[in-house]
Amino acid sequence: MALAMGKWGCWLAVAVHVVVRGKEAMHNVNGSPFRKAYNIVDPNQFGGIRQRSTEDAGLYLTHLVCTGWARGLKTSVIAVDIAQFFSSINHDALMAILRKQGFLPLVVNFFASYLVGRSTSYT
Amino acid sequence: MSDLRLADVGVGQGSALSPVLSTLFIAPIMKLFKLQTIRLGSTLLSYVDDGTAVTQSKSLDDNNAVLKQAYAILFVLFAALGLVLEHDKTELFHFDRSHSDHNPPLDLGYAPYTGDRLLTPKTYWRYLGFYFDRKLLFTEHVQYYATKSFSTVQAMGMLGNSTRGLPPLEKRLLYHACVLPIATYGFRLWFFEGAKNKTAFKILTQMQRKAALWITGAFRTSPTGGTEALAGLIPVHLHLRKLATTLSDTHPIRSLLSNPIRSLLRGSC
Repeated sequence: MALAMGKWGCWLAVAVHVVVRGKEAMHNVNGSPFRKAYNIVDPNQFGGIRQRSTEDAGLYLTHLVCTGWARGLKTSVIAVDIAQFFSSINHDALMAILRKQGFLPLVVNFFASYLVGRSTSYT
Repeated sequence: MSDLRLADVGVGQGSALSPVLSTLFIAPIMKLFKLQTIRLGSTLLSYVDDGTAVTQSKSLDDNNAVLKQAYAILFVLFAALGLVLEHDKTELFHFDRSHSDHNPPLDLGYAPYTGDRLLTPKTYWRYLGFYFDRKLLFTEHVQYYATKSFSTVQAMGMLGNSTRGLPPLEKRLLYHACVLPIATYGFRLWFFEGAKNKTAFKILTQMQRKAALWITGAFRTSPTGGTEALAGLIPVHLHLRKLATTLSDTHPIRSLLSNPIRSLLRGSC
């Protein structure tokens, strides 16, 4: 298996795609490293996933507001901003989350080899 | 070159893998937030790093009270994962279609929005590139993107005219590739069965007319429809209808669409 050998290439794209496609897709890949990990992404979580674009997020929000009005409810939102989001993702925490979510060690180790133990220098 | 330093935080900015990894990273927060706010009645939406807590009730003041608690919960959850919320960039917005202009500010409980200085709601709220207004009319949104496209078309004027520069075919290609997608961004929010969007079409048509005149090199008093046809451009309302039918069969948003639109989509696909 390419993942076990730590090979890159098209495998990664395929793997990522499978992970995020939702519950049904997970059940179709019995025996794959992803079989335990389903229902990971919340339906309200958008971005980086097929069929969950900004437009879909916006449409979902307007839908919420309109259905609220139909029931006589007013909607309020509070938008939060995370400081330096991408650069403050903790690798150890991410690996712990992946493990906890039910990904097989094979997959966790694959991502760990991509992230953990890397060093950087600048000129 | 500096010495090697261990890079134990961060995923690559701009890497194709980063959104997926960060989505997985945020996933537990979504779950925990759901568990902790069951009684509070608040939902969390997130788009990569843009989080939004939503709440609904009969009065905006009640909403504020809920949002304050939801914000505190969010702050703790994010802090547990080593993510810091920037309080001064927090935004508050109320959706209200009644005639009252009651727009209560919120005491966030965190500096700088606590005590004397309250977090005042915006008149227009920019989220994910959409300009939301209180009544969900999206006039502001369309106005913004139409003006943006209009000035692009105006600037494109220097690339060619009827005697020199780009030939009409390339001018049309340029408009199609670089202007139309921006002008129609987020159209699904305001273009649907029964929506009032006369003004929106008017300003978009004005913009497209300008482009058609540029492409064909026609006189500025030429009729809009004719020039559009000669330039090979579809009228805006038909173009949007065409775009609206490109939703794939399995798309989750389909379940939110009204029945007439759904049958329309099925008929033309």
